[in-house]
This record gives sequence, structure tokens and C-alpha cells, in this order.
Amino acid sequence: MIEVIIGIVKLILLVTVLSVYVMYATWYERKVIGHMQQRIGPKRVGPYGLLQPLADTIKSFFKEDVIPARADKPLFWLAPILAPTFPFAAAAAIPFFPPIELSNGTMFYFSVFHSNVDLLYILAMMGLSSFGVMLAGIASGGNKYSYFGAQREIAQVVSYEIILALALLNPILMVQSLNLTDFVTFQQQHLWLIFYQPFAFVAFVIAMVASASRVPFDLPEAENELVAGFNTEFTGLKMAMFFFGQYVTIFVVSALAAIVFLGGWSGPAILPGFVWYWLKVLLFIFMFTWFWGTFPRYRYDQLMDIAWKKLLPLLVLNILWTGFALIVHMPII
Amino acid sequence: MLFKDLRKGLSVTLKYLFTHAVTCQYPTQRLNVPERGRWLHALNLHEESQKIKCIDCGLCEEVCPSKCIEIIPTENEDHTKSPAIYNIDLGRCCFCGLCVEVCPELAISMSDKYELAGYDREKFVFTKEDLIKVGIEYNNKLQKKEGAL
Repeated sequence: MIEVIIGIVKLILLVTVLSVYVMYATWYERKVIGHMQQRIGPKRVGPYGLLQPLADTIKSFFKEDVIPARADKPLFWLAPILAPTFPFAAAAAIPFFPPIELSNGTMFYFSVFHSNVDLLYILAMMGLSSFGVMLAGIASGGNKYSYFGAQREIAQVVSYEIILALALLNPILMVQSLNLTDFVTFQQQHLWLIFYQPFAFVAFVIAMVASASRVPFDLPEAENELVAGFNTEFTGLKMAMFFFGQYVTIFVVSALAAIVFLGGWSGPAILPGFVWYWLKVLLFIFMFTWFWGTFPRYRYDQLMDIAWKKLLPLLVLNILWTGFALIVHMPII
Repeated sequence: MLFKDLRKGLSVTLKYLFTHAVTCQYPTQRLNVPERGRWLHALNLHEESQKIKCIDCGLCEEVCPSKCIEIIPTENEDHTKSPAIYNIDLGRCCFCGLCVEVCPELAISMSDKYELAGYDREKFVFTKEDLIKVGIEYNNKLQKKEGAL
């Protein structure tokens, strides 16, 4: 019983924290992008524009909710619901703080849902999260921009999902566990996995940018060629839901990269563990913004080319090499 | 090294992240306007007598391509002419500056006032009194500037 209550409290906290995070991620992103382009970004609403996300939220509540006449109405409602649901579900397995040992010897985990197959669960939810975008394209009633957006999303999903999984397979082989806490304990005993698996890290970064549909792989909503891609027909709160999904995805993949490759809460003892962990997560979230301010967009055949012709064979070779090194007990491991 | 072009771009954006913004925060902060810019008109007065310089020759009215100047003359006691009404309809004015160019008495010039938007069409018609006020303000500003130099 007490576990159920704790679970519910954790769930409410997760949704609240992530909602506030999404609101302020938009503020932060506009601010950083503004300064990268020698502008200032939001500054009128509140000090430094800090109340801007609040104003935007209120505005999106009061916007007219337009449903196109030709739209598939049930799907048109379902798509914005699914879009943030699966990233939120994936975020349920992400720890927010290092686990602490209670007085009765059990571990208390700061993730809503903890299991020994954390990584598998997160990957599954990330895979499902593209359904919201696909449905949005189909539901928009033959709008060509939405349709092309959804088509590109599908092309993107078949390219990056396999790279995401294969890039994670190298660390999984070394740690021999799917439990995120085990990854950190392994990296506390050894070096961080980025030093053992630099290539897998680069491949994972490419796949994680593609999985969050951010520049340079923001193909489904290419605002200057597809208007806004899959969310052309969505207004107000429905469109905000897609943004929710995207920003939560960014958080999930950033936390995943920080835990799997950069050692999570392990780090020099000058700072407490959770500070290290959040620094690494924020570093990756900054990386997304940095890429957005810098890179132009790839075509989707170029993305498929990178994924299928270059990263996939190299990652298979990398996995073979890792397996070989593990079997012969190479001294570097 | 790998990804040379990508790293180059990333370093550029990172550099600009820590430099100052170049934007002008308009309502609180204004740029200096060029001296010879063509903005709102001003009617000038003689410095000693404080009488209007305009002799109502009608050249500006004639040369104006959008016909936005309207002058109704009056005769003074010393048999000179001066305008009783001098209206410029800024809703029609194209700020070409031909009226300033053609004026033989340097009675009309252009000031540095450029915020001319309004909610009302009637407000766009500037009368003689408005334009003289603009002229006095602008000339005071110019004198202050010269004094500073």
C-alpha cells in the first residue's frame, strides 16, 4: 500500500517537474538562440523575460481550437494525446537523483518506475513516441505538409531507432546489465564508458538528436519547407502537446546519454553526485540548443544514408570488436 | 581532425553566445538619426523678429508631387505676404524633400522627428502652428549641438 502511495506521489512530482522544465526549456532555448544570433531574446515579460513561458501557456489555453473539416476527428484528438504520453512514460524510468540506501537495507530509487530492464523499457517507449507524429500526419485530412511531415518521421524512425539501440548495445555488453544504476556503478569502478566506446558515443549523439527531431534532423517539422510539417493543422493546446513530447524526449535522451556514457552521478568528489548528474544532463540539453543555433537541416535521404550505410556497418564492427575484447579479457577493460 | 566544418560552425555560435547583442531595444533606446534624413517638416522663423520666414510664393505647393501642401495667404500691414494657413497632410506626403529643395527663403526644412504613426487620419494633417513648434524645437536642438561642439 505504502509503495503505491509513494509511486503516485513520484508520478505527480514527475509530471509537475517535467511540465515546469518544458515551460522553462522554451524560455532558455529562445534566450540562448537569441544570444547566438546576437539578439537578446524574450525580455519584456518579467525580469529577463522569466514570465514569458507562463504567458505563452496562458495564451495557448485561450487560442481557438480549430479542427479542419476534412480531419479524422478521433485521430486528431488522439495524436496530441499520444505525442507527450510516451516520452513521459520513458521519463518515468529516468532517475532524478542517485539512489539512497534506507536504514532497513533497501534502496530507494528516485525514478517513478525502477526495474532491471530500465534501458529496454526506455528504448521501447521512445520507439512508440513517434506514433503521435505519424497519427498527426494521417489525421490532418490530406494536408500535404502534414502528410510529408509524417512520412519523413517514419523514414527517420526506421533510420535512427536501430542506431540508438546498437549504440547502446556496446555499453550493455561491457556492463552486462540493462539496469541504469548498474551502469553508474560500473563507471564508478572503471573509467567512464565514453573512453571505452567513443565511436558508440558519437553514434548515440547522432541518433539521439534524430530521435528528438531536432536540428540538424528536424525533418518532420521543417518549418521553412513544410510550413510546420506534422503540426501544421494543430492549434493552441494541441500544438503545445507536441512541444511537450519533444522537450521531454530531449530530457530523456540527455539523461540516458549522461548515465550511460558520462558516468551519471559519478565524478570527482569536489561536488555531490547529483550535481554532477544534473550538470551532465544540462550539458546535453545545451548541446541540443547549440546544434539548433549552428547547423542547417539534412535531407531525409541523407539521414538514411548516414544511418544505414555508414553508422550501421561501423557499429556492427564495433560490437564485434567489443565482444572480441571482452572474450579475450583485453587489459584495457 | 574529424568533423572540421561542424566544429568550425559550433565555435562560431559559441563565440557569439558570449558577445553583446547588436539589436537596439527601440522604445527605451534609440539610434541617432542621420543629419540629412528626411522626416517631419519644420517651418522656420526669423531669429530677430520671430516672424515666419515663409513669403507664400507657393513654390512648395506647386512642386509637391503628392499635392499635400495647402497654403492660404494673407497680406500683412507692410504689404508683404505670409501664410494664414499652412497645412501638410502627412497621410499623402511621400517625404521626397522637394519642398525643402525649392524654398527660396529656407522657410521650410526637415527635422529629425520620425515617429509619425497615429490612430486618426485627421491627426496626420499638420497645421502651421504644429510645424512652427517642430521648427523651434529642432533649431534649439541644433544650436545646443553646435554649442557643444
